[in-house]
Amino acid sequence: MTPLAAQQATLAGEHAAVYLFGVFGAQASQSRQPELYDRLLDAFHVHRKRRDQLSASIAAAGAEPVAAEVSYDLPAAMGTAAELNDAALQVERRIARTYGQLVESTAGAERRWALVALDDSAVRQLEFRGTPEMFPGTA
Amino acid sequence: MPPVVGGWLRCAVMTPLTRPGDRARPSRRAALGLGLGTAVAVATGGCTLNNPLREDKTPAAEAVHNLAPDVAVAVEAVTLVRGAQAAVSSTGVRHAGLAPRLAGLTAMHRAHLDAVVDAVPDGVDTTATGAPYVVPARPAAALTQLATTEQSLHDGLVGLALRAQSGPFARLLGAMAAAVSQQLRELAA
Repeated sequence: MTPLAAQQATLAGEHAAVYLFGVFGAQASQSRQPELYDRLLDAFHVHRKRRDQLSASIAAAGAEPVAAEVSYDLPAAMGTAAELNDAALQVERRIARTYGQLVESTAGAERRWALVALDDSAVRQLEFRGTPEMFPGTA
Repeated sequence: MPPVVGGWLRCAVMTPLTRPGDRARPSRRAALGLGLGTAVAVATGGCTLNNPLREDKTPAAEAVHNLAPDVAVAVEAVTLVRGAQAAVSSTGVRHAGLAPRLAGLTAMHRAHLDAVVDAVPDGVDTTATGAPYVVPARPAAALTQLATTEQSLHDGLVGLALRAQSGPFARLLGAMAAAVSQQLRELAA
């Protein structure tokens, strides 16, 4: 995969993450589930920032950043804190794999940026009740 | 970690990295005769003074430079992980009560070594050679010091991921660093 293709794939993943974390946050109760709400909101902000950084990087390379889909498939169950945690964890695992691919396909500053994002996503999985993995972002 | 992944990682390390004309595994004669093991261990064990690899004209430095680039990275990775592994082991021995909290780190280091050790040429000594790891007498201090050691491992792995010329090998090293970050978070919890 070329560096640009990997960046576009990562951007597509971040579009989805921004959409999904927005939905998850809307499902959580800020008063009854303040910690979960804060974690979801934080994830939303982080992914939105990464989406914007990727878009800028791709545009700076002279390419057209891939656009977001109109909507994305939502998890079947988002009614409880456990279900929201599970859904958020799945998103983080998927995005970690995407960043693993970006690490693999880039070099230099782009790879450094991808490594930071992979690291952050791996740790964020624990915030959504994930368990440590031996090789986050590879499976 | 499924064995198949380890195999894939080994292939990723070994196959695409060698430059044309290079050998992925230097001969035992080359490795031992030039003192490569000692040189690499010194270079990666935290000793920076009088480091023979700082002097490009020494035979040991030339030997390292002649290795396929990512083989040298793999050697450093193994040395780093073994150093952290020894620190965890020493901490567990000194403070048996901490052993359950260290189980995740122990398993992680073992899995990481399994993934990269086959990329290291025969005869290369990857034993950490820095000062012996001294475990603090108080468990809390021991954990704090261990977290610092693991953070150093993380930072070292990130640096190696940036140096790796093979994309899959860089991904492996990045994943190893991310796993260390997860364990650090667990250790702090």
